[in-house]
Amino acid sequence: MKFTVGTSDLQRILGKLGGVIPSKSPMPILETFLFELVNNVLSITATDQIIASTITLEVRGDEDGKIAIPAKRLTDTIRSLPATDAVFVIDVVANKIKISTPTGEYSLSGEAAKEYPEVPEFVATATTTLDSSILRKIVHRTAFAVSTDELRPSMMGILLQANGTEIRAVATDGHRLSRFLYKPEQGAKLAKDVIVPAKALGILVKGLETGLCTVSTSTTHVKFAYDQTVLTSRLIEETYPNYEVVIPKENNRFLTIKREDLINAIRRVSLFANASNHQVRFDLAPNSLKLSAQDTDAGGEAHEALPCAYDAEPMEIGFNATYLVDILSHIDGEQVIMKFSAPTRAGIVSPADSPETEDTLMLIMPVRLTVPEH
Amino acid sequence: MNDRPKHIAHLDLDCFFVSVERIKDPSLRGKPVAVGGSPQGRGVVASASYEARAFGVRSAMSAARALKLCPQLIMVRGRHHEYGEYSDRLHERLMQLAPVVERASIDEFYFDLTGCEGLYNNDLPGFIRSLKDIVLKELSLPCSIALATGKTLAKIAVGTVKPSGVCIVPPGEEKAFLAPLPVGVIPGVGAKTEARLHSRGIRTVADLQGLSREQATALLGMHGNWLLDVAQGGGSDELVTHWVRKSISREETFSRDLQRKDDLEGEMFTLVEDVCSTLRAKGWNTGTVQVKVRYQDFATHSTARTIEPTNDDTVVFRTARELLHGLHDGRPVRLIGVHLSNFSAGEQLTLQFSERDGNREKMLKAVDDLRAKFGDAVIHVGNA
Repeated sequence: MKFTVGTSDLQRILGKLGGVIPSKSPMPILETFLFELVNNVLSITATDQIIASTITLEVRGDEDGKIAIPAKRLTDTIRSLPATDAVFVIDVVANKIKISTPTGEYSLSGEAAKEYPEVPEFVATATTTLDSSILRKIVHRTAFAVSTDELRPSMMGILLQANGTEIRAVATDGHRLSRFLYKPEQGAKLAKDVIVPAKALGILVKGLETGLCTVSTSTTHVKFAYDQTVLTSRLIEETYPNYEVVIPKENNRFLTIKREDLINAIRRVSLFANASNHQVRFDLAPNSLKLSAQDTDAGGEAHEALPCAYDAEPMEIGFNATYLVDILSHIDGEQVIMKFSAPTRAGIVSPADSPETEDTLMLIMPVRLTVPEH
Repeated sequence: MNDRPKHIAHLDLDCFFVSVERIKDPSLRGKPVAVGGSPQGRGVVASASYEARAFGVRSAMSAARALKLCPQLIMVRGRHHEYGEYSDRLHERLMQLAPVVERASIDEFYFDLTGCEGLYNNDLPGFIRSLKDIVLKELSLPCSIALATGKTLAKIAVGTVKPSGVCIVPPGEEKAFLAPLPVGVIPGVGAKTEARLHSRGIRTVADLQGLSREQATALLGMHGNWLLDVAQGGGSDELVTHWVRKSISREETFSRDLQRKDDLEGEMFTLVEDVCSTLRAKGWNTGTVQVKVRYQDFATHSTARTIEPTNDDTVVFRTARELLHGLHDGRPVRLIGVHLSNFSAGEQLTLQFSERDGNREKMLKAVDDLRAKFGDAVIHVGNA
C-alpha cells in the first residue's frame, strides 16, 4: 500500500475524526484509524462501536490496501510536521508503516485491517436534507442540556422528531430542558422519533462546514452525510421521557429583561453563592428584579438590581446560576422573556423575538429557597 | 466607643431533653428521669431531671452508674431531631423579642437587649421575669434566665439560679455579685485550674479579685488575664449571630460489642434514618458522609466520602454501608457513628416527567410526617 498526501489536509481530517476515538477502551483496535486506499481515494475511519465516521480525500495513490494505524501516534506526528507532502509506504503483511517527508522518515507499527470492527450495514428507512446551519443551530440550542447520568440513558441524547413540516429537538437532564422547533421551507420527515447520542452530534457539529447534510435513519442507526464525510451513530433505543407534560401552561408572571445584562449580573452575583448549589435568588416586584446570593460558609454576599419589565405579583425564586447562565447563553436576541408561576415550579425562558420559522423554549427548575439561619 | 452598659441576657433550658420527653409523655413529670443510652449496656446520660440529680445523677455519667445511684430512675432513649425542632422554635420566638440572638448550643441562648429598654417599659428585669413564664406557657419548656452586662457574667449568673430561676445583675454591681461565688463557677475553670487556685488559697471570686494582673498571669499564664477580667465583671459581650449548623451526626454505643456485618449494617441503617430525617426537616442536602468505628480498645477510625448532594436515606445508607465495610477490620465494634456535612442550603428541584419521579420524594415526606407524629419506630424506609 502506497500513497502521497498533503500533511495539512491529513491533519485537518484526523482532527475531525479524533473525537470519535474512545480515550480508554478495552479494545485497543478502537484506538486506531482505519486507512483504506482505492485508486486515488483514501478513506479514513474512526469508531467507538457506537459512532463511526469516515472521511474520504483525494491522494496520489500508487498501490491499494488497508491498514489500522495507531491514532495518537499518527495524529501527533502529522500535527508536528510542516506543510509538505508525506509519502506513506505500508507493508500490509508485516503491518509496518513508513512515513517519508523531504527531510525525515518515521516508522511505526499498525494492526491488520481485518482486526478492525466492521461498520454495520446501513439500510435507510427515511432520508431528509437539511442545511448545515440548521443542524448546527439545533445542536447549539439543545446539547448543553443533555444529561450525563448513565442511569437515565434516554436523556443522554437529543430527541429528534420530524413530522413533515417541522423538526423538533429536545434535550433535558431533569433539571432543565430545551425544546427547539424549526420549520424548514422544504419540510423534513423521519420515519420515527430518534434519540441521538450527544457525543455523535458534538462530532457532527465539529465536522460540519457549509452546505447541505443528508440525514437518514434506519431502525437502529442515524446517518449524516456531508462533504466527504459519513457519520453514523447507533440510536439510543429507549423511550424518551414525556417532555410535553412538564412544560407548564399556566405561567402567567412575565419578566422581560435584557439577556446580556442578566447573564453578566448572574455571573457577578453567583461568585458569592454557595459553592455546591450556586443558588442565586430572584426577588421580583413590579418592574424590579433584585438578584442576590450569599455563602454562609464563607460569609460573603452580593446584591444587584436590574431594570426589567414585570407586572405580576411579587415573588421570590431561586435558581442554580450555572444552569440559568447556560440557558441564557444558548438563546439568541437582545431580550428574553421568563415566565414563572410559583417558587417551586419550572420557569420558562424564551427569546423575546424569534424568526417565524423557529421556536425556542427552555425550562429551568428552581432551587428551593432556604431561610438563612440568624 | 460606647461606654453605656450593655444588657445581655442568657437563657438556659432546664434539663432540656428531659423537658421535651415530658411534653411527649406527661407521666414523666415530677419523677427522676434521664435521657440517654441503654442502661443494660454502656449508654451514657445525656440529660437528667432535677429529681434524678438529687440522687447524684449527672450528664455524661454511664447509665448503669446512674441506675445504681437512683434505682427508680426512668431511662428514656433520646429523639434527637425533635430536640432540634424545639430549640428552633424557641430561637424563632426569641428573635421576635430581641434584636440580636445567639444560639450558643441546642439549649442555651444569648440575646442583647441594649437599647430595647423603651420597648419593655424601661423595665428589662420585669420583662426577663415574664419571659421565663412565656417560654413555659408557649413551649412548655422550663428555663432559667439571667440579665447582666456581659455574656460571661450572664452565664455565671444563670448557673446560680437553676432550675427555673431568674437572676438580675444590675450595672455597677458585677463585682459585688461575683465576689462570694466559688472560683469554679467561671467558665474555663476546670478541675485542674481550680485545684491550682485552691492551693494558693484562692477559693472565691473575691480572692481572685484581690490579685494583681502580674500575680494572676504568674499563676495561670494568659488564662490568668481572662480570669481576672471575668472576676472584675468583664469577659466577652459580643454575640455570635451567624451560627450555621455545619454537620449532623449520630452515634451509638452498643450494649454489647457487635462483630457481624449484618448487625452493624442494621445499626447503621437506624443512624442514617435519623440524620436524614433531620436533613430533610432543614431542607438541606448532604455532600459528605463520614462513618466512624470504635473498637473495644477505644481505637477509633473514621473515613468519609463526598457524594452528589442528596437527602435520600437509601443513597446515604448505601454510601455509609460501603464506608463501614471498608473501615471495619472484623474486630468486635463498640461504637459506630455517621456524620453528614458539606450541606447545600437549597435543594435543586427536578422536572416530574411521570408520576413515578415524584413518588420517592412524596414517600420520604410521608415517612417523615409519620415518624414526627408516631415516633421513629413506626416506619422505616426499605434499604433493598
